[in-house]
Amino acid sequence: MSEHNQTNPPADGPLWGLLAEVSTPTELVSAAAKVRAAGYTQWDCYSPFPVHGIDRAMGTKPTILPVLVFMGGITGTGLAILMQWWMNAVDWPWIVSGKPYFSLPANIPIAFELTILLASLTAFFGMWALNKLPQVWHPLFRSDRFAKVTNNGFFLAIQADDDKFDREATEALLKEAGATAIEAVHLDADPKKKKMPRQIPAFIAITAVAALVPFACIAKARTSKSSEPHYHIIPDMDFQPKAQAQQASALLPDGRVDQMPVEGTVARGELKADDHFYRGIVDGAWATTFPEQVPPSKESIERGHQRFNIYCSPCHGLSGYGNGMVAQRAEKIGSPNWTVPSNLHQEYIIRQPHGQIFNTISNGIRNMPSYGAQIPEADRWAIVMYVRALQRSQHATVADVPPTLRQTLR
Amino acid sequence: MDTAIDKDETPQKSTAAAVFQRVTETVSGVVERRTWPKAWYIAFAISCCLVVLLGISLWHLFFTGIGIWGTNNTEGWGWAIVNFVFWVGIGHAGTLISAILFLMRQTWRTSINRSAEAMTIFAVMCAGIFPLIHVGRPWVVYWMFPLPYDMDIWPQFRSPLMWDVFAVSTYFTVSLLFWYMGMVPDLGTFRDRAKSKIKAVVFGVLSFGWRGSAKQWHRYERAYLLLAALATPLVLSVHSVVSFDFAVSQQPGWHTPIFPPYFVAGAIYSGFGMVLTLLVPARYLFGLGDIIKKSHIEAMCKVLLLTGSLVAFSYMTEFFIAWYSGNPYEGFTFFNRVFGPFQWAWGIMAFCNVVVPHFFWFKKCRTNPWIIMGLVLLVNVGMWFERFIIIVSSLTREFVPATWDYFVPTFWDAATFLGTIGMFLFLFLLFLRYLPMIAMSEVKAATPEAHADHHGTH
Amino acid sequence: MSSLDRNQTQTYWRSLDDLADAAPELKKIIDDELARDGEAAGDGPLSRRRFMQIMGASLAFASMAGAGCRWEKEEIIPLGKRPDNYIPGKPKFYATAMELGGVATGLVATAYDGRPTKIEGNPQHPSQGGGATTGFAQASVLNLYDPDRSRHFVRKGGTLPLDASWKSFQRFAAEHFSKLAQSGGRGLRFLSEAQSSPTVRALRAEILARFPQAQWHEYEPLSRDNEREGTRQAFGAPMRVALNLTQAKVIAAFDSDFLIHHPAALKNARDFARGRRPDDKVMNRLYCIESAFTATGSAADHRLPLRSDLVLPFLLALEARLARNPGASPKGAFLAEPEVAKFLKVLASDLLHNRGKAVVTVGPRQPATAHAAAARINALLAAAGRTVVYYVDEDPERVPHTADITRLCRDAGAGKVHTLVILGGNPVFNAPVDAGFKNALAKIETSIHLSDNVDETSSVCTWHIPRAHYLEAWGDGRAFDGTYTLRQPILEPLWGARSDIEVLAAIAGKTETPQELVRKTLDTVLGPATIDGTLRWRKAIHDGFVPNTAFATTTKAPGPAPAVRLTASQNAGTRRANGDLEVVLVPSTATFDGRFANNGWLQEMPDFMTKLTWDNAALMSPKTAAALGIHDEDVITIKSGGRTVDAAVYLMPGQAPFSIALAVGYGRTHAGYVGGLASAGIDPPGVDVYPLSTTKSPHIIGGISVSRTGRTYKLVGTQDHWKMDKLGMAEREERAALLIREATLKEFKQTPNFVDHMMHVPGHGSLWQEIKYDGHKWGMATDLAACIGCNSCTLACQAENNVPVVGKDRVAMEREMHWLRIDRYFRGDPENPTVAYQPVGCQQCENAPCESVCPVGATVHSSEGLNDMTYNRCVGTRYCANNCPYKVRRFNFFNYREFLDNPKNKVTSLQYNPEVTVRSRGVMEKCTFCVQRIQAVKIASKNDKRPIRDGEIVTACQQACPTDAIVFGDLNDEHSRVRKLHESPRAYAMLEVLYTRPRNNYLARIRNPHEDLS
Repeated sequence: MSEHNQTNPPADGPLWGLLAEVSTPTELVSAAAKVRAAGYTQWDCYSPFPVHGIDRAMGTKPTILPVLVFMGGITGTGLAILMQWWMNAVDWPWIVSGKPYFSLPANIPIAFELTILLASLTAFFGMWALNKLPQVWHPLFRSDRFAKVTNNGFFLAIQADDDKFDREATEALLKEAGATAIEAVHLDADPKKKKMPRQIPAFIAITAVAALVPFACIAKARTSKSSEPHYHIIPDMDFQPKAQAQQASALLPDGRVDQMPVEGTVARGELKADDHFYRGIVDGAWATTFPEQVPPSKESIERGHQRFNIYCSPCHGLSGYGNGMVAQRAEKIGSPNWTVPSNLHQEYIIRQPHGQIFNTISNGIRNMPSYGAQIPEADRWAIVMYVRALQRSQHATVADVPPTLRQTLR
Repeated sequence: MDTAIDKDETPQKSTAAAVFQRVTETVSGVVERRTWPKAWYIAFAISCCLVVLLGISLWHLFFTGIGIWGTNNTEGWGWAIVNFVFWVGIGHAGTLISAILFLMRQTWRTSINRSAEAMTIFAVMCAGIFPLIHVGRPWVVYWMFPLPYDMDIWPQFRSPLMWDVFAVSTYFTVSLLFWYMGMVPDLGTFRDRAKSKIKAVVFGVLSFGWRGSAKQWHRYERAYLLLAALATPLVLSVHSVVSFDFAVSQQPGWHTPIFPPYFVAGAIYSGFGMVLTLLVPARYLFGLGDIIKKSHIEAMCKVLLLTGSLVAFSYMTEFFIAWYSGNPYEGFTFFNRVFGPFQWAWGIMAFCNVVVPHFFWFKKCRTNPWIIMGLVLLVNVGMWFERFIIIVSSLTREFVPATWDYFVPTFWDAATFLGTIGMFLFLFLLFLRYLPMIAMSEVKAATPEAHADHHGTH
Repeated sequence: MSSLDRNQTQTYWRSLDDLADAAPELKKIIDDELARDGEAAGDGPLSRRRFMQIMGASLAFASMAGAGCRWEKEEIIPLGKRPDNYIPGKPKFYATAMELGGVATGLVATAYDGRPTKIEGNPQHPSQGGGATTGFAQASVLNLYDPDRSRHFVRKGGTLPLDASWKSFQRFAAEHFSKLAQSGGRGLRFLSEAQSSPTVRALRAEILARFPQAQWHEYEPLSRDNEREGTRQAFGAPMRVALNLTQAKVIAAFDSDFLIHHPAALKNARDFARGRRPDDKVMNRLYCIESAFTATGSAADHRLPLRSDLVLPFLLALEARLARNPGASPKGAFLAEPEVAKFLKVLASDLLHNRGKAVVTVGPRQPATAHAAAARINALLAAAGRTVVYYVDEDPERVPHTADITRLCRDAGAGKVHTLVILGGNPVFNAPVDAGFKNALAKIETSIHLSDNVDETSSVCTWHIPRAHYLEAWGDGRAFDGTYTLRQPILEPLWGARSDIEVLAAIAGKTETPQELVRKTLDTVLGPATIDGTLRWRKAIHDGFVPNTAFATTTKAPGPAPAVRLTASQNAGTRRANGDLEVVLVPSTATFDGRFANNGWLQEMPDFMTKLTWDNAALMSPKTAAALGIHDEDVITIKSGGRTVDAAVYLMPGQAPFSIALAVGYGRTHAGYVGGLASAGIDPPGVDVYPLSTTKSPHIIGGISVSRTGRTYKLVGTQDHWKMDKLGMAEREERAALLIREATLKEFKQTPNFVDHMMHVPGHGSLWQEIKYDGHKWGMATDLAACIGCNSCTLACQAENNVPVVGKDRVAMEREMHWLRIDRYFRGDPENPTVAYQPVGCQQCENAPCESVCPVGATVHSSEGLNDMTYNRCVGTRYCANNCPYKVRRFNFFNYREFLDNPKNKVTSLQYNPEVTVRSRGVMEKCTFCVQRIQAVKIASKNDKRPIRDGEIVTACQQACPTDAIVFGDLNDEHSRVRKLHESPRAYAMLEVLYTRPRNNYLARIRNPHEDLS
């Protein structure tokens, strides 16, 4: 540690302050005491390790860090308990091992951990903040001598902006305080130009931008539209190897999962022995009566009414004149291959036996498709019944009105 | 080589500046030296190979499934969790040394705390791998964190695994902060000693522009004290929480309230074992004899003796309770450990954890580096087998005999474990190479010259 | 998955008829495919079907390549014209029938969108145990989708492949057989497996009419002909012996597994269980005298392990005692041995004491004389018409199977046969060695084999015709009691396979469709239709059977006992030397006679007794093995005459001394990628033991000597994975007593709630407010007194819940996936232990230990108290499995569906139940109480606005159980059966000491021993 080859820091800019070196920690303490006694305020000591007793000598006030840390810890506890309560008992409550939705004991470990975590983070970052670090540039770093501060040098610096600062007097004081060397530290000529290497902000900026890229991609994917299916890297159980209804399947005839039952087989409960009910046939002729499963009743007719409006009215119209929405539209656009739906009030339909109409619904006729798949037998009969009611209503005579109500007619 | 150290043991009187200079030189010298001991290169080469092995096993695991391991219907965890607990245990000594010994004002800690903390961090990194990879679908492991992702479901906080997630990540974060904070002034030293501009810049940034001002030291010390105070209960809590994985469950051999203290004792035991495993060679390789003093090594051996005895006591308690509780299932599990198919593993564990530490009653065993190395390696083995016994032997034979079976590890079990050992070494060797492995500022502060009343002037 | 291999598969499934005139490139593809089927595909993707190879990249990553990291595009293809009331995805149920060993079983097949996925019993069928099914029936649906079923006709000499097709066969048949017809069919022979189908019978008659010189042979390796011949001896005419166990108080089974390997096993099991209702203090008593330990033996109250060849003298001695005619008793040395003598004495007195309520049954492998003796004994016990029913056999002229096939071989060897039509069966594999069928077949110039795949027989025939699965073809048959049973197809043949009826029709030159033929048969069975034939026909196929069509019964008295010459061995003692051992060939619980060898479910189903999977083994009692210096898993050479078989030894407690049991039907070389395929280098599971079977002694082979080969072989089972050490043994003994609580009827009468006194359960108060389940509260009760450990439930569960097959290697690593396992515990003397079974699925604990440990809440409770497993949420920490005290959770260690990546195997996926998620790699799974069935019923009841009826929800295991041991229902409904069972004094929860509060309770097992024997 030779002091000869040490050049004084450049004296280009305004004076920042005076830097004095002392040889031992002990001397640093005494020097500090002297400077303090002299009433300086803008000054500080520098050492490779915390020097015992320096705080008292300098009269440093105790830091508020412990308070911050305590608050950090409390926040952690509260946060943890709230999070667990809200997530498991409020937002998504579930029955786990027959236990209550919320019970404190199970939440203690995490509460504890978060307390420590937040407290520690406060301690760490709080300390740097209060120390105004990181700050990689500082006038003192312009002094080569100061490099010893992290090795074995003990320094005391008084800043020029101290009210009591006076170059000669202060220098004298420092000498008197036992400084082995004293040098003036100047600010940089151009105050804006910090001694901050340009690479650092550049590096930070680049990493920051890079870190944003994935988020940008996600944001774009979430907002933009695409004709391709979305990305799905690991399907897990989303695409099941099992065959499901109406899927395509290479393994079965005509490439579909759904198969017609083998010709002539009879599934359980589909014996359909009752020709009247299932086919509308009695002794080989169209049934002229309703099967006992669907006795003529207000309920049946209302059911029929509802079903008729759902399945039949689109073509046949609500009142059965063959002028349903579809029919009207077809006429409007003059669809070439469109057979006009029958008017249910035509003579020949009125004369058809119930069974035949039932059969028409079941198997369709001309362009009308079969409705056997959609409409269960009972409902088909109910529809027949309603159609009968419709036909009757459209050809009603005064005679049909109950005598008690006739005078209400006009 | 021993004699050489003995000479260094008593540094000749010199000025304070000289003493501090000397500390700086020794420690920085390790990093700045031109040529490195062959041993370092060999070790580094080996660790690199093992890291590659780790990569391969993880790849295979990820693409094929947990089935490549020896786990089965009855024994669901196998080596993965054994290794997890093992590494977390190792990860205890560091923070413990730094925090608890700091609070106890044990100045001898200053020589080892830095590397011990580094070891902690690397060990916890190794441990952290296993919970992530041992799950059946590693790609959805993020469901274990309370994140608002598309499913809108939250984690289930009654599960000890969730506690693990928080405990281990907290422990890692705090250890990291503690370690880094302690390192900042020394990074400052490196900055000021830097020959090249790059180094100066890098260390300048890493050291946050540390100036060693008294005001900064004041807050710094306070923060350090607070962190130590926070880290101490944390250390004790982490392994307690890990032990909850077992204690909170229902299986005989797991469902035991003694587990938290038992695991912590074990953790400290294994942690110190690992510290010695790493530092005894490092001490000689880098000639740090006058900083890591013999007395320090001895102190650590004594800690091993103490914690080893604690572990042994826990074993005894377990057996006693198994008998005293009158729970037939618990009772059988412990019989089965000693006389059952895993007898051999239990034997290894008992020898390494109950017998071995007692060698440290003898000074020779506490001073002869070779003997120490042998013993601490046994300690590491023993602690691994302790976890093996707890996890595997308990699970393979619990309530329903029809489901009893055996556990046979596969090549990939071993490969993954070796891989993490490699990763651990890899990181530690890099640490030795590039960072101050001893806390210079603390060592300086601990020297007699550092104290104001040293020369008796005042 | 990707459209690419969809096109590939397209070429697989179609029968070659469609492709006969296909584009050349298509032809090329077929050629390749055929070549691939034929040649040794080696370790290609094909052999993954065996689940044995190390798994490569998982499905996830496989499809990553296919779907290019993007969500898959799927098409919706509905039916053009939908049938009446058809709702896509809603299952329909069809009555059908399956034939096994010449007896038809009425079944109901579940069909989703015209695709059968599940088999149940036909509950209305009179000859069966309600809706129950055997394991074979459950597993048979997998055979339908077996990728190894042959997909095309094969013709030797023809230029492969395109001239081998149904069309070309018809052409060939027309020309070939019309030529034969001119010669009256000289040299034309038929060899059929036992078939009860009247339609086949009718065709046979027509064919024999068309070819007067032709002859019809029949062969079954596991035939019941001894019973026919025995009854023929006793009554002068062959009979079918059926048991009526509802009436029986005392049952003595001689080498007879009438609860499992019996055509009427389901009925027997049901009746047997109905005779054991401890709660109503009704208990029959079962004595078993048998060599190999059978499920029946495990259900017995008293069991005497006895060499099979000693069963006959024992029977005669019993007869002598019952007839009070000691002179007639044989003087066998073993009869003097104390426990045999005592057993005999007690049995005799017990039988006499219950005259009219007792029955004796003898197993099919016992010689005719034994069956004759049994007939006489039953007469002495006045059993006929009460506990035993004799049905008149429908064709008394038939020659016994072994004699029949011997005759065929003789004639063929003499060159008298030039055309042989083989309907089913696999004689090259399973005909007695000394018949020399294979050589005889070589001498026949035209041989036509109808079979599922190109098996041992087909591969040496000139024609191979793919045989239609019973779910693919019209047909009929007769149940064990003769009830006429119809079979309707559920879907068109997948690979254009043909049924026996079609082939015979082609040969007979008939033009009717099979449907018409069967319908004609119905008319002959019922007589001409009076009014509407169609309705009658529809009703018959709808019901699946025609009532009141059983065979005629008879109560004829048996003739006097003829003098029986006993061999030296039958007079000796039980202790024998090496060289005087006996081998008993028993039906395999997995492959039956070998026909199910390629069925993964059955191969992986643990055997009732040994719990072995994927193998057969030489079963020996520990003492015997010790005497012969043989250890567990030693491979021994078994020598009989000049023939040897090498098999691994399994030490089987309770196996008769100096008797070795070997299961047949393993070691096949042409079964497929599961059951063994030499051409592809796939070793078969187990060893083929048919080489030991001869025409003279097909199933009980004496004079056996064994020797160690010095090799050992790892046998793999689902239990006792780790050979127990002393410590473990002792503990297991102790715990088994608590897991399966057991008492004698006497003890039970004294202390009905004995289960509560077996273990001290500390009075549990809950530490917290327990959750209330006010709506439904699903629960299950499992009656251990009824369970016979038959595995039907395990297989039903596998079929219902898409449970994967993992393969031998993985079972060896203790990674079997069965949701429902059956724990088996031996008790007492290893030479003659008692056995107890315990079916264990998820216990659906109310305080489920698995739930609280799951970090992501993938398993939580439903509001109805079900322990739901959310596969999609599962991360796979396996913590739940660790914390499950019952160890019922199963983990997907690999992607067990990877074999589906091979287009050839995709067809298997058609069996999967669309209502159940197919689990992927890395997720946990377990029994769900068949939640899909619960939901289905809830929806149905909601639609017709009514509460759910008790017994309306039936879990798969419950439905399959022949003894009705499993009951499911709502515990909140105080009238429900399950509620009553939970309140029964016998009810207890497994490991209740843990306070998991399982929703499944077990009912303690009650035995009914005779006080003089216990």
